[in-house]
Amino acid sequence: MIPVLNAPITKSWPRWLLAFSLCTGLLGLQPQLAPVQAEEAEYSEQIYLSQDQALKQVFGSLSVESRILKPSAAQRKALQKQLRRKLPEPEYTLYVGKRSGKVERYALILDEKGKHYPITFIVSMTPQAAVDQVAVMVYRERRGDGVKRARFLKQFHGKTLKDPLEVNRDIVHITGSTISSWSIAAGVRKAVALVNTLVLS
Amino acid sequence: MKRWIRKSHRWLGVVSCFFLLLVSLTALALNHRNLWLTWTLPGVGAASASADFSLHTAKAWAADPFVKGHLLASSDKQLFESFDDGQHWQEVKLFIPAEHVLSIAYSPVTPEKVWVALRDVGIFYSEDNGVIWEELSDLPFDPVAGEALQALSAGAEDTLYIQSLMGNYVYHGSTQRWQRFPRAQAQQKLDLQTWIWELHTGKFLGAWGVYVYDGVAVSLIFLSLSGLVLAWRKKPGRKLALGA
Repeated sequence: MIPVLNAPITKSWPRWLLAFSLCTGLLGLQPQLAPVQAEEAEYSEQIYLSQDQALKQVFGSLSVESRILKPSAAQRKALQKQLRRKLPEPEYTLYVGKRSGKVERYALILDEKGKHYPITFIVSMTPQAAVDQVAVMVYRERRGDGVKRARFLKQFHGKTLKDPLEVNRDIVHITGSTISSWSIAAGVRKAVALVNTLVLS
Repeated sequence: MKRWIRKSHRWLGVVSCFFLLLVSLTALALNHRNLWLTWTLPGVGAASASADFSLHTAKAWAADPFVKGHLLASSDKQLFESFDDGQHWQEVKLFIPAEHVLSIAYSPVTPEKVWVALRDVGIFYSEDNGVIWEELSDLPFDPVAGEALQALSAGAEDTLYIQSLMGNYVYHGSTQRWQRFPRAQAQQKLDLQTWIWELHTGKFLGAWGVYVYDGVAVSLIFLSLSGLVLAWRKKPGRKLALGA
């Protein structure tokens, strides 16, 4: 008598494991054989903060002024080299928070392309251009809005241009929002570089 | 006659067990190539720093047609360039992580122009040898939604040939127009070969397939070994219980 072959079926787990593995494999084969057509991305606007609410959140009781920053050709070239990307915008609106005439905060509202559509967010900085707060204002896709979570955005606090400000270096992306995480990180880096180059230099 | 059949069956079973062991072990090795490369050749399996990087670990690479010895290559998560035929490497950064760069192409007509294809994101290009990058924004397909990029090649007059998961495309840089063309028969044969390879390794199921096949391979190894042990332990006069 051969014990393995004559054992009750419940004890012959290798056979069950093999059968289960094959069944799982065959079930999984189905979607792969029928490739899915790339669908047009669904637009789904989610507004978390209006401009007034965002400015109120980052400036609190400070008085707010706005200034237009228009980089010169040389500044644009230097910024593009620093950020490793083209800057399509001709100018930027800088918000300055003051108390008794003294600058306490800077803020920029920027758009960065997420998966398909732009993400609008605000970055506030100290007078030395260290990041204070980042908040997502408008997200325009159905999925991936995990980047609005404080757990992700708090990572930028205190970062300066000396930091890499890059996902996989000093920023951990949000699972399920990888590309949006990259976009926000690139956008924060851009905001810090703009204030450094156009305001502090 | 019956005895002869039983004896042949037993020996064929023993030989088949070795074959199953070979297939299962090589399937595991194929699916976990990075792991065993890391064990056997330190620094090769997971090159992350430019000092560790070499062409042996590159996922994709291209030679600059205008600068002798200038190469651009990618690991799993980074881009590197070399100015001495690959002896030394330094990192080239995009403004997003350069993850899964599957293809790199230099323009054969415009100096310093280079394209890189990020499998699940899109195509990025630089006109100054990788200092400033820009995304090719009007792709006629959507890698982010699943139509992954597979290969690209640059031709005359800024023409770009692109292969995605579901089709082949030509981008005419001079007119900024896209054209889709059907896959040739050779491509279909290549697809069949790729499909067979993916079926063999379980990669047609993505990351899950690898784990499922790992389970199958381990099961087959166990069954083969236990079968060999049972065959070895068989005593004269014992009846085979197959079909019992």
